[in-house]
Amino acid sequence: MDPFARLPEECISTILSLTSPMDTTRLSIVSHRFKSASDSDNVWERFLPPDYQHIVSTSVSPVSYATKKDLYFTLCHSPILLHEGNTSVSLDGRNGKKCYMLGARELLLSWGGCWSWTSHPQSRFSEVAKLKCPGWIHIRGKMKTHMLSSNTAYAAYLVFHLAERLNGLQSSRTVIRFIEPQMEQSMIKTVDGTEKLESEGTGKIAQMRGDGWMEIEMGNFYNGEEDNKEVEAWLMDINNPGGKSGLIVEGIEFRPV
Amino acid sequence: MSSTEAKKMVVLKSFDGVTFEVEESVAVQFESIRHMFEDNLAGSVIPLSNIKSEILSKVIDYCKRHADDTTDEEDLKAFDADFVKVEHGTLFDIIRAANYLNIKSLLDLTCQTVADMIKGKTPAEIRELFNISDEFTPEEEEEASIITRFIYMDRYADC
Repeated sequence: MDPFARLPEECISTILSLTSPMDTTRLSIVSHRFKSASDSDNVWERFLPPDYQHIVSTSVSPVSYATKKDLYFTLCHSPILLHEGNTSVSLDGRNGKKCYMLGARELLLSWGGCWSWTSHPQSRFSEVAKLKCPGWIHIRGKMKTHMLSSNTAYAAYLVFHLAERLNGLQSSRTVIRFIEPQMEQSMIKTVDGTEKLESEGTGKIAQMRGDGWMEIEMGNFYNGEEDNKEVEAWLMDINNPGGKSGLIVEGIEFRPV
Repeated sequence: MSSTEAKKMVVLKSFDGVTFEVEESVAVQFESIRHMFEDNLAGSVIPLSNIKSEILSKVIDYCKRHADDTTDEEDLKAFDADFVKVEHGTLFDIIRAANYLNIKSLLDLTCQTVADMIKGKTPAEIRELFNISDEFTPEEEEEASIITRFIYMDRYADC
């Protein structure tokens, strides 16, 4: 006899909330009792990040949802914009961990005169930065670690587009560091001519994303539990001042790995 | 509590009529019935009409161990690990009792045990493991598997 049939539905919800979002979705078809328990707010409240109410309340446009499960899937599939629309947040569907993208307007781009601002039909942000002239460039994004999910391994990605054929973008270095204390460094080198960017440290190359943009990992780090720290992803001096125009930067994404 | 002082006792009666005398210091873990013996009803018998004696005795055993400040943490962990090594039927009865009596730590322990059993398994494996015969139509199954694929496989669209 099915032992779950003897349990109140709230107990099955509690059990499911101790698995994972993926397990819960997959197991919703074990039985009709599982199905009903797997839709419960108690389960999805546990899977949402602890500060989800704060996130929803600071969204630029109102977020409406009927159930916590709805909200979870909404946050997985459509990033919401925060901070005057220059930062986005979404959830990694597998585990409910937070992904943040700092839009180009939130980044430190040098030199200012080398960039123009334009809208882009595929961007979640109202403006992206387009490199318009040759020059040594730096792209830096800083993220407060307490906004990220704790006890989670993250990687930072540069999210970009190449407007024209890339003639240069030969190589660059990136650094991921905690601002006080410096924890970890990693390097990326780009490869000339092939339109592939390769990371020296991890051997990763630039990839197409599902949203039409490209990305390359800038490095990774472990976000523990300490507050009041910042992590910085810094791409420095792309080494071919003659041929970088055409680079469009959407932002830097901090995503669980 | 001094050893000369008489310990305050609470009497619980299981569904099959067996009575258990429990120290109040242990019974305070039964959140949902706490008011019954704290409202000066000590001495009277508290009926627990949906818990069998076999299960109630295990639950009391668990609460005694957890009320004992002298047990060290490692021993308690070992006790907990042993405590949940029981047949499925017994484990689920304990969950039901822990839920009814609102014993949070016991509910966490037993629910976590079941969660660990079902994690990473397929619906078919779970049905077999627990003898569940409830069936879904192929359409319902297909829908769930499409949702699962849609949500979890498309990594880049997620973020």
